[in-house]
Amino acid sequence: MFWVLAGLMTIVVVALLLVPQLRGYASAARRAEYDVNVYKDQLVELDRDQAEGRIGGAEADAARLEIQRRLLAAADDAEGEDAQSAASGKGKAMIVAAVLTAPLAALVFYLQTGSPGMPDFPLAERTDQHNTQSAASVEGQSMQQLAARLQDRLRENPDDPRGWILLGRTYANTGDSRQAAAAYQRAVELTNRDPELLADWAEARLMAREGTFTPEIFADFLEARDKNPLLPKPWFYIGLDKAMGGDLEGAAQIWTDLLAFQPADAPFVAAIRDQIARAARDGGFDAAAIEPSETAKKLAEGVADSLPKEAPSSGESAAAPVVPGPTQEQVRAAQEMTAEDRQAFIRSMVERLAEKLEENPNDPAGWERLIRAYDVLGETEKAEEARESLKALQAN
Amino acid sequence: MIAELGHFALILALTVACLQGVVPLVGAHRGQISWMRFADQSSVVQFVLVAISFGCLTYAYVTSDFSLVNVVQNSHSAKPMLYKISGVWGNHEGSMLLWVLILAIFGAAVALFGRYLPPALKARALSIQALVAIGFYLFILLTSNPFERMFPPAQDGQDLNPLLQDPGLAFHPPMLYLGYVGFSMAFSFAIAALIEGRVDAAWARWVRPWTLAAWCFLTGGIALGSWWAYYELGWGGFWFWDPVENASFMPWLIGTALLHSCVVVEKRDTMKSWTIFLAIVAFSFSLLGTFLVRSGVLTSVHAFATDPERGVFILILLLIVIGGSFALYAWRAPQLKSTGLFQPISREGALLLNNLLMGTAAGVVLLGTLYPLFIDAISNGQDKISVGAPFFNAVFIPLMTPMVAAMAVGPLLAWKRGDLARALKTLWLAFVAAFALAVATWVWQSGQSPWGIVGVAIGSWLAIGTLIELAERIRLFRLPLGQSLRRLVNQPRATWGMTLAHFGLALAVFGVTGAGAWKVESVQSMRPGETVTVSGYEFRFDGAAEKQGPNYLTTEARFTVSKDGDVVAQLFPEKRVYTVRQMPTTEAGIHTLLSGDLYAVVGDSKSDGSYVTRIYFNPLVAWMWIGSLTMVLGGALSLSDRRFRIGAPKRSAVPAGAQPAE
Repeated sequence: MFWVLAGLMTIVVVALLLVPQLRGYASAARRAEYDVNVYKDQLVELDRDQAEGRIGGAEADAARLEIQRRLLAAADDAEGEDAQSAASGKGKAMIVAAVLTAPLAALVFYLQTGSPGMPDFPLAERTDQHNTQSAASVEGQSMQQLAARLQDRLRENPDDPRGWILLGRTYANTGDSRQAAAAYQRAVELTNRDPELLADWAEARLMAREGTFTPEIFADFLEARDKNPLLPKPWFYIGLDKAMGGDLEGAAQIWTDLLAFQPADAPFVAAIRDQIARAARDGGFDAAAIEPSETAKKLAEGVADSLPKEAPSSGESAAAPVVPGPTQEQVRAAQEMTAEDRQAFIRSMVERLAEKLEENPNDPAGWERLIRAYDVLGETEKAEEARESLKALQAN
Repeated sequence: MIAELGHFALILALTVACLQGVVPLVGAHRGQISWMRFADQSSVVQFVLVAISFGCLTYAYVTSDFSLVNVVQNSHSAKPMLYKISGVWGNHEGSMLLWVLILAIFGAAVALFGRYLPPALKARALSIQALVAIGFYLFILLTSNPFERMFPPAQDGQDLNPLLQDPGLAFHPPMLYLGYVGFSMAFSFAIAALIEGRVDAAWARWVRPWTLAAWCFLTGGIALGSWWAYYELGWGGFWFWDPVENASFMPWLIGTALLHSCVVVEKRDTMKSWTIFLAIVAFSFSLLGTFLVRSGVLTSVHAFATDPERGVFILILLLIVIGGSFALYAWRAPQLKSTGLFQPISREGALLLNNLLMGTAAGVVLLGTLYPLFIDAISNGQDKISVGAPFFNAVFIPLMTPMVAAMAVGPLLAWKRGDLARALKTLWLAFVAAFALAVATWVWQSGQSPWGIVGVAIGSWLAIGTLIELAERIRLFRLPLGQSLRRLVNQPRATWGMTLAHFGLALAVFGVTGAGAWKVESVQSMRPGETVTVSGYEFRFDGAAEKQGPNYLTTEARFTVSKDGDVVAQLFPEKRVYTVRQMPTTEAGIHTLLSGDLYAVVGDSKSDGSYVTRIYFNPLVAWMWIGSLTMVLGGALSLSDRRFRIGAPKRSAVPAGAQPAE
């Protein structure tokens, strides 16, 4: 497109310059005739000046004489003036050649100094997938703009569940879980408690509470799973709740069930296996010994009739949880459930962790988690920085 | 893509300018009409290309395309739209692009409207214009390219200097540049005349309106700039003899001289060589002004050295343009014949005196502006001196006083041989009035600076003298009133222009005198509810409140001003902090009265809830703006005089088969 427009521009320029040249010109009046015109005009002006007393009578006469002398001189000049010549054929050829070189020279110059074909990046249309350096913040900013636009649209059309879902996802991506929860809530209401949205809503509330379960959140995950047992997200969080309550084996059981009916190539499978292995290590049991439950097997065959009853294992009243909040791996696993917003979600968690460590740097385990998180995200520079901080901490 | 198109268009304009710099010049030399006429097309094409380029850059600013380095450095997504647009020329690179755009506009205007010009003169002038343009295109493309891209694009911009985020300053640079570049027209015609070794009668007719237009824009631009300084910088002053201001003032002084000497060339066919000299000097000062401001050399000679590429380019360009044209002048000027003779005491003589005084004033300003730079450079940065208002006031006022005094007399002198005694006798009333007002001022101000008295004396002398000249011209009281009025209406617009411009200057003299000599200033800390009395006006501080602007936070204070118990005005001075650059600016609260401006500035708050406030009474400031406007109006009126539009001669012969191309 750029080359087309640049080419068009060039063609128009060449045409504007050459066409009149090739058509030829009428020769102009002789030079002296231009002067004569001016002098005649001056004589008229002199008369007016004299009539209005701006020049004395004698002086006006002298001035008139001067102008008349100039008039005569101009007429003399005209006699001796060379006639103008029209351009010869050779002259025309030279002009054509010269005009055609111009775009070529421009092209060479441009290729040296320009960035051919580089697109524009107007702010309003940027998504910034190109910018890896400051992706998190730029993404955050354009997300906020997106959110603002969505909100404008929702003001006009507040009963559009798709708008609320998008808004919820957008806020979740920027790490604003509170706003995300509010948007999902509206979407849940409008869709008659759609299970997938219900899970998203519960997840957003969980994040807003920094990973602390409440009975309501737990109940919503359960409801989502009851309504659609094939959704992975409720399973994962129900397992997580168990793990946080100290029932690592129970958690491993639920996650094993989840894997049983999920396709083996689902993006989050490896992460869940990690989770199970970690729970097994921490809890001192053999992960391989845990078999998927009957329900899970039936789900895998597509014939589930009933689901096991679960009760919340932790909550507001629970004692200090054994596992302090979701770890990075857990969050990652969670995010694999909805592949589209996993990246940003991780970032929001990582950012929160980084902030906490800035306030309270005396936490080696926290630093290790942060380093791993940065490694996962591929932000090697930041990971290096975190390693430095950790080293400094250990040296003390 | 659009940014890249703008870049390409600019390069294409450069190559077209290269053709235009050669083909018409050769054509004029050989007397080949089609090669001469090439300049007409190429000027228009150049204009279209630069306009496209400028439009593309503007588009990048409007859409906040932060893949352009220039946009990143001078814009921000939260900036109001007006300043996104004015940001295009609010920086070095963009302002250079505006420069060439205006150059191209003027070139196209000559091509399209200059039909009555002898074709060879027109071709040569347009070629010179293109050569100047080449210098600027290369400067832009090689050292100051506004289309430089960056990848990945920046997250957001660094914002425009908050001081420049102001409506006054949005239009100040374009006005100034219209003035500067207008002088390039006079310059190009001067060089063309030098090449030809003759000054056509049409030459002066053509150069004068361009000079006049440039002068109007420059006057407006300078007035706008000092108005901005007056309300934005918050010091109650309007002219600081700052190098940047001087840089625009010097071309104005020379331009004013040029304007007057053009009249002599046009009417009397004399002072040609001098006028050409002035044309070259005026444009040289314009170039100097442009580059002085833009190169950073003014803040420090060493800033120049830190960016050697740009600095060396500027030096070479100035050397070629100024040195080259003076060399040409030295070689060719002696061939220019003058035919009009005149006595020392005559209209011509008076205009020459104007030229000399204006030239000297420009020289003085140049000295004062560059002297600190020389000292800085010679001492390698060890000695820094600043040449400020005391120097300029000491030399400038004594130069301008006889200038203004002579201004009232000059128009009363006849061409060729004038009668000074008679002219002075005609002005007796002005003399008496000026003397009486000066005495009254002396009594009234009792022992303050003597400049107040001088200012009132010469201001009233000029104002009344100008009115007397007008009365003379229409023979007021010597002919029946109706006849006089008819003469008044029938005055050519050019003479009206002169009268208005001179009268405008008289008004401005009053304004400068009032604000310079009798300013009353009061600095104090005030709590809400407290009052302070300045020059008989009672300023009550009503308090201040924090507010949020589009891209700044502001503390807006309110003052209620009353006189003898009657409320005169409310003032809302602000103190803003622009968030991106973390730069504070002041916005003065001003209420303009004919007798003077009520001017309030709010400063920092103290812990006890009081604010530092500065209150000024600036007498007669409005007269300065009215005076400047009157001068611009006079120039515009003179510009519209129908005498500038004489018809082109008929073509002597049309070759068989050739089509008229225009």
